[in-house]
Amino acid sequence: MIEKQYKDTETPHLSKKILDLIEQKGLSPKPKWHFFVREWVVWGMVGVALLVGSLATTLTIYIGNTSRFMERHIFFSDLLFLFRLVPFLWLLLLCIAIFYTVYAVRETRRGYKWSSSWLVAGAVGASIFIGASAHALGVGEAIDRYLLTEMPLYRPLTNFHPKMWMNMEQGVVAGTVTVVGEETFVLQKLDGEEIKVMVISEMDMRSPDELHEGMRVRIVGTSTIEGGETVFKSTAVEPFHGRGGPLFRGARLPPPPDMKER
Amino acid sequence: MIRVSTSREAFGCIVDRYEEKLLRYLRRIMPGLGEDAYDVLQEVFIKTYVNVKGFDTTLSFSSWIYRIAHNEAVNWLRKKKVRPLTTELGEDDFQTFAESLEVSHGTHEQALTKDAVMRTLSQMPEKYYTVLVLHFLEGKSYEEISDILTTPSGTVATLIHRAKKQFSTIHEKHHD
Repeated sequence: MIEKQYKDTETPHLSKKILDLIEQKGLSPKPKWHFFVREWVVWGMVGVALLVGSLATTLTIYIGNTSRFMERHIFFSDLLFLFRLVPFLWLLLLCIAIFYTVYAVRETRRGYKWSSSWLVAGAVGASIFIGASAHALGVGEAIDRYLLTEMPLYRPLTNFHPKMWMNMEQGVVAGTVTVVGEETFVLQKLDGEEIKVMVISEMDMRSPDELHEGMRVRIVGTSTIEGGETVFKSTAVEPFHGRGGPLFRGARLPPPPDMKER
Repeated sequence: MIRVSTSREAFGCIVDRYEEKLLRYLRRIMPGLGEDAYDVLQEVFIKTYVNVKGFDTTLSFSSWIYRIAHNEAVNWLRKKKVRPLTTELGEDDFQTFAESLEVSHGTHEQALTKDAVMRTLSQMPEKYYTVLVLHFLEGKSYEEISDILTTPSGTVATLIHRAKKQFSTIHEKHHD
Protein backbone atom coordinates (compact mmCIF):
# COMPACT_ATOMS: atom_id res chain seq x y z
CA MET A 1 0.00 0.00 0.00
CA ILE A 2 1.26 3.41 -0.79
CA GLU A 3 1.50 5.52 2.27
CA LYS A 4 -0.84 8.35 3.01
CA GLN A 5 2.01 10.81 2.88
CA TYR A 6 2.70 9.93 -0.74
CA LYS A 7 -0.94 10.15 -1.67
CA ASP A 8 -1.09 13.63 -0.24
CA THR A 9 1.96 14.97 -2.00
CA GLU A 10 1.13 13.08 -5.20
CA THR A 11 4.53 13.53 -6.72
CA PRO A 12 7.96 12.34 -5.82
CA HIS A 13 9.54 9.06 -5.12
CA LEU A 14 6.93 6.62 -6.31
CA SER A 15 9.81 4.75 -7.86
CA LYS A 16 11.47 4.46 -4.46
CA LYS A 17 8.25 3.23 -2.88
CA ILE A 18 7.80 0.64 -5.61
CA LEU A 19 11.39 -0.54 -5.35
CA ASP A 20 11.11 -0.78 -1.55
CA LEU A 21 7.94 -2.78 -1.92
CA ILE A 22 9.59 -5.10 -4.44
CA GLU A 23 12.41 -5.67 -1.99
CA GLN A 24 10.10 -6.15 0.99
CA LYS A 25 8.02 -8.74 -0.84
CA GLY A 26 11.12 -10.36 -2.34
CA LEU A 27 9.67 -10.09 -5.84
CA SER A 28 11.70 -10.88 -8.91
CA PRO A 29 10.83 -11.03 -12.62
CA LYS A 30 9.41 -14.33 -13.82
CA PRO A 31 12.00 -16.20 -15.91
CA LYS A 32 11.81 -16.03 -19.68
CA TRP A 33 11.14 -19.76 -20.02
CA HIS A 34 7.88 -19.28 -18.08
CA PHE A 35 6.53 -17.17 -20.95
CA PHE A 36 7.96 -19.50 -23.59
CA VAL A 37 6.33 -22.51 -21.97
CA ARG A 38 3.01 -20.71 -21.71
CA GLU A 39 3.17 -19.72 -25.39
CA TRP A 40 4.06 -23.26 -26.46
CA VAL A 41 1.28 -24.73 -24.34
CA VAL A 42 -1.23 -22.40 -25.98
CA TRP A 43 0.06 -23.24 -29.47
CA GLY A 44 -0.13 -26.92 -28.48
CA MET A 45 -3.79 -26.38 -27.65
CA VAL A 46 -4.26 -24.79 -31.08
CA GLY A 47 -2.60 -27.86 -32.64
CA VAL A 48 -4.80 -30.30 -30.73
CA ALA A 49 -7.94 -28.35 -31.64
CA LEU A 50 -6.90 -28.31 -35.31
CA LEU A 51 -6.16 -32.03 -35.22
CA VAL A 52 -9.56 -32.80 -33.73
CA GLY A 53 -11.19 -30.51 -36.31
CA SER A 54 -9.30 -32.24 -39.12
CA LEU A 55 -10.28 -35.71 -37.90
CA ALA A 56 -13.89 -34.58 -37.64
CA THR A 57 -13.61 -33.26 -41.21
CA THR A 58 -12.09 -36.54 -42.42
CA LEU A 59 -14.92 -38.53 -40.89
CA THR A 60 -17.52 -36.08 -42.17
CA ILE A 61 -16.13 -36.42 -45.70
CA TYR A 62 -15.85 -40.19 -45.41
CA ILE A 63 -19.32 -40.76 -44.03
CA GLY A 64 -20.74 -38.13 -46.37
CA ASN A 65 -19.14 -39.91 -49.31
CA THR A 66 -20.40 -43.31 -48.31
CA SER A 67 -23.85 -41.87 -47.82
CA ARG A 68 -23.66 -40.30 -51.25
CA PHE A 69 -23.51 -43.83 -52.63
CA MET A 70 -27.06 -44.18 -51.43
CA GLU A 71 -28.18 -40.66 -52.17
CA ARG A 72 -27.30 -40.94 -55.83
CA HIS A 73 -29.53 -43.93 -56.25
CA ILE A 74 -32.40 -43.08 -54.00
CA PHE A 75 -35.08 -40.60 -54.99
CA PHE A 76 -35.67 -37.77 -52.61
CA SER A 77 -38.98 -39.29 -51.61
CA ASP A 78 -37.80 -40.26 -48.17
CA LEU A 79 -36.35 -37.10 -46.63
CA LEU A 80 -36.15 -38.63 -43.17
CA PHE A 81 -34.06 -41.45 -44.60
CA LEU A 82 -31.68 -38.94 -46.18
CA PHE A 83 -31.61 -36.85 -43.01
CA ARG A 84 -30.29 -39.84 -41.12
CA LEU A 85 -27.32 -40.00 -43.46
CA VAL A 86 -25.91 -36.65 -42.26
CA PRO A 87 -22.96 -37.20 -39.89
CA PHE A 88 -24.20 -34.81 -37.19
CA LEU A 89 -21.84 -36.11 -34.51
CA TRP A 90 -18.75 -35.22 -36.53
CA LEU A 91 -20.19 -31.95 -37.76
CA LEU A 92 -20.86 -30.97 -34.16
CA LEU A 93 -17.33 -31.93 -33.14
CA LEU A 94 -15.96 -29.95 -36.10
CA CYS A 95 -17.86 -26.84 -34.96
CA ILE A 96 -16.59 -27.24 -31.38
CA ALA A 97 -13.01 -27.74 -32.63
CA ILE A 98 -13.19 -24.62 -34.80
CA PHE A 99 -14.59 -22.57 -31.94
CA TYR A 100 -11.84 -23.83 -29.64
CA THR A 101 -9.12 -23.20 -32.26
CA VAL A 102 -10.21 -19.58 -32.56
CA TYR A 103 -10.29 -19.23 -28.78
CA ALA A 104 -6.81 -20.76 -28.37
CA VAL A 105 -5.24 -18.63 -31.14
CA ARG A 106 -6.68 -15.56 -29.42
CA GLU A 107 -4.80 -16.62 -26.27
CA THR A 108 -1.44 -16.58 -28.05
CA ARG A 109 0.82 -13.58 -27.75
CA ARG A 110 -0.23 -11.99 -31.03
CA GLY A 111 -3.52 -13.76 -31.58
CA TYR A 112 -5.50 -10.58 -30.95
CA LYS A 113 -4.22 -9.05 -34.18
CA TRP A 114 -6.48 -11.24 -36.33
CA SER A 115 -10.19 -10.64 -36.58
CA SER A 116 -12.56 -13.42 -35.61
CA SER A 117 -13.79 -13.87 -39.17
CA TRP A 118 -10.25 -14.43 -40.45
CA LEU A 119 -9.54 -16.86 -37.63
CA VAL A 120 -12.70 -18.85 -38.32
CA ALA A 121 -11.90 -18.91 -42.05
CA GLY A 122 -8.34 -20.04 -41.28
CA ALA A 123 -9.48 -22.77 -38.87
CA VAL A 124 -12.10 -24.04 -41.34
CA GLY A 125 -9.61 -23.93 -44.23
CA ALA A 126 -6.91 -25.77 -42.28
CA SER A 127 -9.38 -28.39 -41.04
CA ILE A 128 -10.66 -29.00 -44.57
CA PHE A 129 -7.16 -29.16 -46.06
CA ILE A 130 -5.75 -31.54 -43.44
CA GLY A 131 -9.02 -33.47 -43.22
CA ALA A 132 -9.26 -33.96 -47.00
CA SER A 133 -5.61 -35.08 -47.13
CA ALA A 134 -6.22 -37.55 -44.31
CA HIS A 135 -9.34 -38.79 -46.11
CA ALA A 136 -7.30 -39.43 -49.25
CA LEU A 137 -4.98 -41.58 -47.14
CA GLY A 138 -7.93 -43.58 -45.77
CA VAL A 139 -7.63 -42.22 -42.23
CA GLY A 140 -11.36 -41.50 -41.94
CA GLU A 141 -12.32 -45.01 -42.97
CA ALA A 142 -9.82 -46.56 -40.56
CA ILE A 143 -11.03 -44.50 -37.62
CA ASP A 144 -14.68 -45.06 -38.44
CA ARG A 145 -14.19 -48.79 -38.73
CA TYR A 146 -12.21 -48.90 -35.51
CA LEU A 147 -14.89 -46.98 -33.63
CA LEU A 148 -17.67 -49.12 -35.07
CA THR A 149 -15.99 -52.33 -33.97
CA GLU A 150 -14.35 -51.26 -30.73
CA MET A 151 -16.73 -48.71 -29.25
CA PRO A 152 -20.27 -49.94 -28.73
CA LEU A 153 -21.41 -46.44 -27.83
CA TYR A 154 -20.32 -45.06 -31.19
CA ARG A 155 -22.95 -46.82 -33.30
CA PRO A 156 -26.03 -45.29 -31.73
CA LEU A 157 -24.40 -41.86 -32.05
CA THR A 158 -23.86 -42.11 -35.78
CA ASN A 159 -25.96 -42.95 -38.77
CA PHE A 160 -24.70 -46.50 -38.92
CA HIS A 161 -27.78 -48.59 -39.21
CA PRO A 162 -27.43 -51.96 -40.89
CA LYS A 163 -31.16 -51.75 -41.44
CA MET A 164 -30.51 -48.97 -43.91
CA TRP A 165 -28.86 -51.56 -46.09
CA MET A 166 -31.78 -53.93 -45.82
CA ASN A 167 -34.13 -51.70 -47.74
CA MET A 168 -34.63 -53.43 -51.08
CA GLU A 169 -37.70 -51.33 -51.81
CA GLN A 170 -35.46 -48.27 -51.68
CA GLY A 171 -33.01 -50.09 -53.93
CA VAL A 172 -30.23 -50.87 -51.46
CA VAL A 173 -29.04 -54.13 -50.02
CA ALA A 174 -25.91 -55.42 -48.31
CA GLY A 175 -24.51 -58.76 -47.32
CA THR A 176 -21.90 -61.40 -48.02
CA VAL A 177 -21.18 -62.91 -51.41
CA THR A 178 -21.57 -66.69 -51.22
CA VAL A 179 -21.39 -67.84 -54.84
CA VAL A 180 -19.86 -65.93 -57.76
CA GLY A 181 -21.05 -66.62 -61.30
CA GLU A 182 -20.22 -64.96 -64.61
CA GLU A 183 -22.77 -62.18 -64.54
CA THR A 184 -24.57 -63.08 -61.36
CA PHE A 185 -23.75 -63.85 -57.79
CA VAL A 186 -25.58 -65.01 -54.72
CA LEU A 187 -25.77 -62.66 -51.79
CA GLN A 188 -26.52 -63.62 -48.23
CA LYS A 189 -28.23 -60.52 -46.88
CA LEU A 190 -27.51 -59.15 -43.42
CA ASP A 191 -30.65 -60.96 -42.17
CA GLY A 192 -29.38 -64.29 -43.52
CA GLU A 193 -31.74 -64.58 -46.51
CA GLU A 194 -30.06 -65.42 -49.82
CA ILE A 195 -30.91 -63.62 -53.04
CA LYS A 196 -29.66 -63.76 -56.59
CA VAL A 197 -27.99 -60.60 -57.84
CA MET A 198 -27.67 -59.84 -61.51
CA VAL A 199 -25.06 -57.31 -62.55
CA ILE A 200 -26.63 -55.13 -65.21
CA SER A 201 -24.32 -52.15 -65.07
CA GLU A 202 -20.74 -51.57 -64.12
CA MET A 203 -21.35 -48.07 -63.01
CA ASP A 204 -18.88 -46.82 -60.40
CA MET A 205 -16.67 -49.79 -60.90
CA ARG A 206 -13.53 -47.89 -61.55
CA SER A 207 -11.18 -50.05 -59.57
CA PRO A 208 -10.66 -53.69 -60.45
CA ASP A 209 -11.44 -55.11 -57.01
CA GLU A 210 -12.94 -58.44 -57.89
CA LEU A 211 -15.85 -60.07 -56.18
CA HIS A 212 -15.05 -63.23 -54.36
CA GLU A 213 -16.80 -65.56 -51.99
CA GLY A 214 -16.99 -64.26 -48.45
CA MET A 215 -16.66 -60.64 -49.57
CA ARG A 216 -19.05 -58.18 -47.92
CA VAL A 217 -20.64 -55.83 -50.41
CA ARG A 218 -23.33 -53.21 -50.63
CA ILE A 219 -25.42 -52.94 -53.72
CA VAL A 220 -27.70 -50.39 -55.31
CA GLY A 221 -30.23 -51.47 -57.89
CA THR A 222 -33.80 -52.66 -58.30
CA SER A 223 -35.59 -55.64 -56.91
CA THR A 224 -37.67 -57.82 -59.25
CA ILE A 225 -39.32 -61.21 -59.22
CA GLU A 226 -38.27 -63.49 -62.03
CA GLY A 227 -39.75 -66.96 -62.21
CA GLY A 228 -40.97 -66.71 -58.62
CA GLU A 229 -37.45 -65.92 -57.43
CA THR A 230 -36.29 -62.58 -56.05
CA VAL A 231 -33.61 -61.15 -58.29
CA PHE A 232 -31.81 -57.95 -57.47
CA LYS A 233 -30.54 -56.16 -60.55
CA SER A 234 -27.51 -54.17 -59.44
CA THR A 235 -26.38 -50.90 -60.93
CA ALA A 236 -23.49 -50.43 -58.48
CA VAL A 237 -21.60 -52.74 -56.20
CA GLU A 238 -19.05 -51.71 -53.60
CA PRO A 239 -17.16 -53.39 -50.78
CA PHE A 240 -18.98 -53.01 -47.48
CA HIS A 241 -16.59 -52.54 -44.60
CA GLY A 242 -18.85 -51.73 -41.73
CA ARG A 243 -20.12 -48.51 -43.21
CA GLY A 244 -19.25 -49.30 -46.76
CA GLY A 245 -15.80 -48.18 -47.87
CA PRO A 246 -14.86 -45.26 -50.06
CA LEU A 247 -16.62 -44.59 -53.30
CA PHE A 248 -13.62 -44.70 -55.52
CA ARG A 249 -12.92 -48.30 -54.66
CA GLY A 250 -15.64 -50.13 -56.52
CA ALA A 251 -16.05 -53.87 -56.85
CA ARG A 252 -16.67 -55.73 -60.02
CA LEU A 253 -17.33 -59.21 -61.22
CA PRO A 254 -14.44 -61.05 -62.73
CA PRO A 255 -14.68 -60.53 -66.51
CA PRO A 256 -15.62 -63.53 -68.61
CA PRO A 257 -12.55 -65.24 -70.10
CA ASP A 258 -13.30 -63.90 -73.56
CA MET A 259 -13.83 -60.34 -72.35
CA LYS A 260 -10.92 -57.95 -72.53
CA GLU A 261 -10.03 -55.75 -69.58
CA ARG A 262 -11.19 -52.22 -70.18
CA MET B 1 14.52 -1.86 -22.64
CA ILE B 2 14.14 -5.39 -21.29
CA ARG B 3 17.82 -5.68 -20.43
CA VAL B 4 17.80 -2.37 -18.63
CA SER B 5 14.55 -2.79 -16.81
CA THR B 6 15.45 -6.02 -15.07
CA SER B 7 17.79 -4.19 -12.73
CA ARG B 8 15.84 -2.58 -9.93
CA GLU B 9 17.45 0.81 -10.32
CA ALA B 10 16.72 0.93 -14.02
CA PHE B 11 13.18 -0.12 -13.27
CA GLY B 12 12.96 2.95 -11.05
CA CYS B 13 13.60 5.05 -14.15
CA ILE B 14 10.70 3.36 -15.91
CA VAL B 15 8.45 4.15 -12.95
CA ASP B 16 9.56 7.77 -13.06
CA ARG B 17 8.96 7.95 -16.77
CA TYR B 18 5.47 6.44 -16.84
CA GLU B 19 4.11 7.39 -13.44
CA GLU B 20 2.46 10.62 -14.49
CA LYS B 21 1.17 9.36 -17.84
CA LEU B 22 -0.37 6.23 -16.37
CA LEU B 23 -1.89 8.02 -13.41
CA ARG B 24 -3.51 10.48 -15.80
CA TYR B 25 -4.75 7.63 -18.01
CA LEU B 26 -6.18 5.72 -15.04
CA ARG B 27 -7.99 8.82 -13.84
CA ARG B 28 -9.37 9.42 -17.30
CA ILE B 29 -10.77 5.96 -17.78
CA MET B 30 -11.80 5.52 -14.14
CA PRO B 31 -13.20 8.85 -13.05
CA GLY B 32 -13.98 9.00 -9.39
CA LEU B 33 -11.16 6.64 -8.58
CA GLY B 34 -9.71 9.11 -6.09
CA GLU B 35 -6.91 7.80 -3.95
CA ASP B 36 -7.46 4.25 -5.17
CA ALA B 37 -5.69 5.36 -8.33
CA TYR B 38 -2.38 5.08 -6.50
CA ASP B 39 -3.08 1.55 -5.39
CA VAL B 40 -3.98 0.58 -8.94
CA LEU B 41 -0.89 2.35 -10.24
CA GLN B 42 1.29 0.55 -7.72
CA GLU B 43 -0.14 -2.79 -8.84
CA VAL B 44 0.53 -1.83 -12.47
CA PHE B 45 4.22 -1.26 -11.77
CA ILE B 46 4.56 -4.40 -9.67
CA LYS B 47 3.01 -6.47 -12.49
CA THR B 48 5.23 -4.77 -15.02
CA TYR B 49 8.29 -5.69 -12.96
CA VAL B 50 7.25 -9.31 -12.42
CA ASN B 51 6.33 -9.86 -16.09
CA VAL B 52 9.02 -7.76 -17.69
CA LYS B 53 10.77 -10.77 -19.25
CA GLY B 54 7.56 -11.65 -21.06
CA PHE B 55 7.51 -8.31 -22.85
CA ASP B 56 7.01 -8.81 -26.58
CA THR B 57 9.79 -6.77 -28.17
CA THR B 58 7.75 -6.31 -31.35
CA LEU B 59 5.48 -3.98 -29.37
CA SER B 60 6.39 -0.57 -28.06
CA PHE B 61 7.06 -0.65 -24.33
CA SER B 62 4.55 2.15 -23.90
CA SER B 63 1.75 0.06 -25.45
CA TRP B 64 2.65 -2.86 -23.23
CA ILE B 65 2.62 -0.90 -19.97
CA TYR B 66 -0.60 0.84 -21.01
CA ARG B 67 -2.10 -2.61 -21.59
CA ILE B 68 -1.17 -3.65 -18.06
CA ALA B 69 -2.64 -0.43 -16.71
CA HIS B 70 -5.82 -0.89 -18.71
CA ASN B 71 -6.28 -4.49 -17.56
CA GLU B 72 -5.63 -3.49 -13.97
CA ALA B 73 -8.24 -0.74 -14.25
CA VAL B 74 -10.79 -3.17 -15.69
CA ASN B 75 -10.03 -5.65 -12.89
CA TRP B 76 -10.42 -2.94 -10.30
CA LEU B 77 -13.80 -1.90 -11.72
CA ARG B 78 -14.91 -5.52 -11.80
CA LYS B 79 -13.77 -6.13 -8.24
CA LYS B 80 -15.55 -3.05 -6.97
CA LYS B 81 -18.54 -3.81 -9.19
CA VAL B 82 -18.77 -0.22 -10.33
CA ARG B 83 -18.69 1.50 -13.66
CA PRO B 84 -17.41 5.01 -14.25
CA LEU B 85 -20.58 7.05 -14.13
CA THR B 86 -19.00 10.44 -13.71
CA THR B 87 -16.53 11.69 -16.22
CA GLU B 88 -14.11 14.35 -15.10
CA LEU B 89 -12.54 16.47 -17.78
CA GLY B 90 -9.81 19.03 -17.41
CA GLU B 91 -9.99 22.18 -19.51
CA ASP B 92 -7.43 20.86 -22.00
CA ASP B 93 -9.18 17.51 -22.32
CA PHE B 94 -12.50 19.27 -22.93
CA GLN B 95 -10.99 21.40 -25.70
CA THR B 96 -9.38 18.37 -27.31
CA PHE B 97 -12.62 16.41 -27.21
CA ALA B 98 -14.71 19.28 -28.52
CA GLU B 99 -12.37 19.78 -31.48
CA SER B 100 -11.73 16.12 -32.21
CA LEU B 101 -15.29 14.91 -32.00
CA GLU B 102 -16.48 17.55 -34.46
CA VAL B 103 -19.63 18.33 -32.53
CA SER B 104 -21.64 20.87 -34.47
CA HIS B 105 -21.09 24.29 -33.02
CA GLY B 106 -23.77 25.91 -35.18
CA THR B 107 -27.06 25.70 -33.35
CA HIS B 108 -25.65 24.27 -30.16
CA GLU B 109 -22.82 26.66 -29.67
CA GLN B 110 -24.16 27.75 -26.31
CA ALA B 111 -24.68 24.20 -25.24
CA LEU B 112 -21.21 22.94 -26.08
CA THR B 113 -19.94 23.34 -22.60
CA LYS B 114 -17.66 21.20 -20.56
CA ASP B 115 -20.63 19.93 -18.56
CA ALA B 116 -22.47 18.91 -21.70
CA VAL B 117 -19.47 17.00 -23.06
CA MET B 118 -18.93 15.31 -19.71
CA ARG B 119 -22.60 14.36 -19.46
CA THR B 120 -22.52 12.92 -22.96
CA LEU B 121 -19.34 10.94 -22.31
CA SER B 122 -20.80 9.58 -19.07
CA GLN B 123 -23.66 8.04 -21.00
CA MET B 124 -21.47 6.24 -23.49
CA PRO B 125 -20.59 2.56 -23.16
CA GLU B 126 -17.20 1.98 -21.55
CA LYS B 127 -15.63 0.51 -24.70
CA TYR B 128 -16.46 3.62 -26.73
CA TYR B 129 -15.33 5.98 -24.02
CA THR B 130 -12.02 4.09 -23.65
CA VAL B 131 -11.11 4.27 -27.35
CA LEU B 132 -11.97 7.96 -27.43
CA VAL B 133 -9.71 8.62 -24.45
CA LEU B 134 -6.87 6.57 -25.93
CA HIS B 135 -7.12 8.11 -29.38
CA PHE B 136 -7.93 11.74 -28.70
CA LEU B 137 -6.57 12.39 -25.21
CA GLU B 138 -3.65 9.98 -25.03
CA GLY B 139 -2.83 10.49 -28.72
CA LYS B 140 -2.48 6.77 -29.47
CA SER B 141 -2.61 5.48 -33.03
CA TYR B 142 -5.02 2.70 -34.10
CA GLU B 143 -2.14 0.24 -34.02
CA GLU B 144 -1.15 1.26 -30.49
CA ILE B 145 -4.76 1.06 -29.28
CA SER B 146 -4.97 -2.37 -30.87
CA ASP B 147 -1.94 -3.45 -28.82
CA ILE B 148 -3.25 -1.88 -25.62
CA LEU B 149 -6.76 -3.30 -25.81
CA THR B 150 -5.63 -6.54 -27.55
CA THR B 151 -8.20 -5.98 -30.28
CA PRO B 152 -7.65 -6.13 -34.06
CA SER B 153 -6.82 -2.67 -35.45
CA GLY B 154 -9.79 -2.91 -37.83
CA THR B 155 -12.06 -3.28 -34.83
CA VAL B 156 -10.42 -0.24 -33.20
CA ALA B 157 -11.21 1.84 -36.28
CA THR B 158 -14.83 0.66 -36.18
CA LEU B 159 -15.09 1.39 -32.45
CA ILE B 160 -13.77 4.93 -32.88
CA HIS B 161 -16.12 5.59 -35.77
CA ARG B 162 -19.11 4.32 -33.81
CA ALA B 163 -18.04 6.17 -30.67
CA LYS B 164 -17.89 9.47 -32.56
CA LYS B 165 -21.27 8.80 -34.09
CA GLN B 166 -22.80 7.91 -30.76
CA PHE B 167 -21.27 10.96 -29.12
CA SER B 168 -22.97 13.18 -31.70
CA THR B 169 -26.27 11.36 -31.34
CA ILE B 170 -26.37 11.62 -27.54
CA HIS B 171 -25.17 15.20 -27.63
CA GLU B 172 -27.82 16.19 -30.18
CA LYS B 173 -30.52 14.42 -28.18
CA HIS B 174 -29.70 16.48 -25.12
CA HIS B 175 -30.43 19.64 -27.03
CA ASP B 176 -33.55 18.67 -28.91
